[in-house]
Amino acid sequence: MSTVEDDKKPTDSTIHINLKVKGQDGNEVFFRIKRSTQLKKLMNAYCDRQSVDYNSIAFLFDGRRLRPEQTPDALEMEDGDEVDAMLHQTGGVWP
Amino acid sequence: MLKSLFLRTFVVVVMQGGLEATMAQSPLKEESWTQPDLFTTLCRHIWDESPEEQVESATYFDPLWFEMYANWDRRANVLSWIKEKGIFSKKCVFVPIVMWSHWSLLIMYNLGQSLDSETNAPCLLLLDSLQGMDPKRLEPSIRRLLIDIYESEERTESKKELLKIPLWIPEVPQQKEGNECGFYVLFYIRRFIDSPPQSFNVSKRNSKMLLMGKDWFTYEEVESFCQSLEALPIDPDPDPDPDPVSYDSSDSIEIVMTPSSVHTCKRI
Repeated sequence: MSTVEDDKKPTDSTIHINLKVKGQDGNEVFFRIKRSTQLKKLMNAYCDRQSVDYNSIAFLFDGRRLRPEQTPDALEMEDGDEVDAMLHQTGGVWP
Repeated sequence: MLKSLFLRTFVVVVMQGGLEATMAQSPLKEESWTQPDLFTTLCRHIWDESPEEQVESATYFDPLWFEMYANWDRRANVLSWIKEKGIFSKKCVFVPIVMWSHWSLLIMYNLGQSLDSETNAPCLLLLDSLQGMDPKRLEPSIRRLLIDIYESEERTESKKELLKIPLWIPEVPQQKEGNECGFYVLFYIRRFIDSPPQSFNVSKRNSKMLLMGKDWFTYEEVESFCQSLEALPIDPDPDPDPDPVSYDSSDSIEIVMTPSSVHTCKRI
């Protein structure tokens, strides 16, 4: 009986995902996040931890910009996937 | 109709990108120019409103890619993203370059063609709205990128042959104000798509100046294009959050010390 129940329970890896955020300086921060959680949480947490302004960082996954409302599920991310955190050029102006 | 559809898309994308409405209302000459994905959004606008035959053989890179390639240890990643673009089947590849807080535009032209072609040989064009700042300084990075691209796509051309692909820096209209470089890059793309040099033999070195020149377009045309983009309607509600009720407050996130660690050092 209990075995059947256990089979129905979602395993941890189907609920959570481990993601690595890699910064320009090579610094890596590891996150554990629910697959259904908006990546805004991860982005904010990373910026808080690195003490950088949220608007000054671009996050890329497979070369595409992450949008805050996207989730690991929607992006079909896999456990251990990497996200690049890239500092924006400030302004696009001269100098 | 197509334009109005795009306008809708533009608003959605900008909002989803989390930009403040005030930023997006004047995207071209303000700080917002380099905010997340705005450049790509505006490029998509050009693609959406251009006739398909003009843009089907062209593509563009994210403006962050070149810097990531040039300055960062993510070269292999960038090359794999480029590979997905299928650039050897495109006539024209726009590579926005943002280095030292200045935007310029690299155009990779005829990449899929034979290096020996009389009329369609590959060439590189570097358009810079501040030519006094020596755009040639980008050449080493551009050359390395080109060679790496050919190698990653398993092309047969040798490094020696690839170094013969000409890199031209044609005269182009120059910016008048200090913060217009990003917009000029966009307008170069616009103009290049509008007047593709199909009948123009870019492989003839002497002919290259006919393509552009300082009078390629007027400052008034730049201003007009700028205003048309600024006129894009903006959703008054910039909050990108979906229904907050559906947002699970238990969606915690953990920062883990190492990938193998079972201990959580911080819970947010």
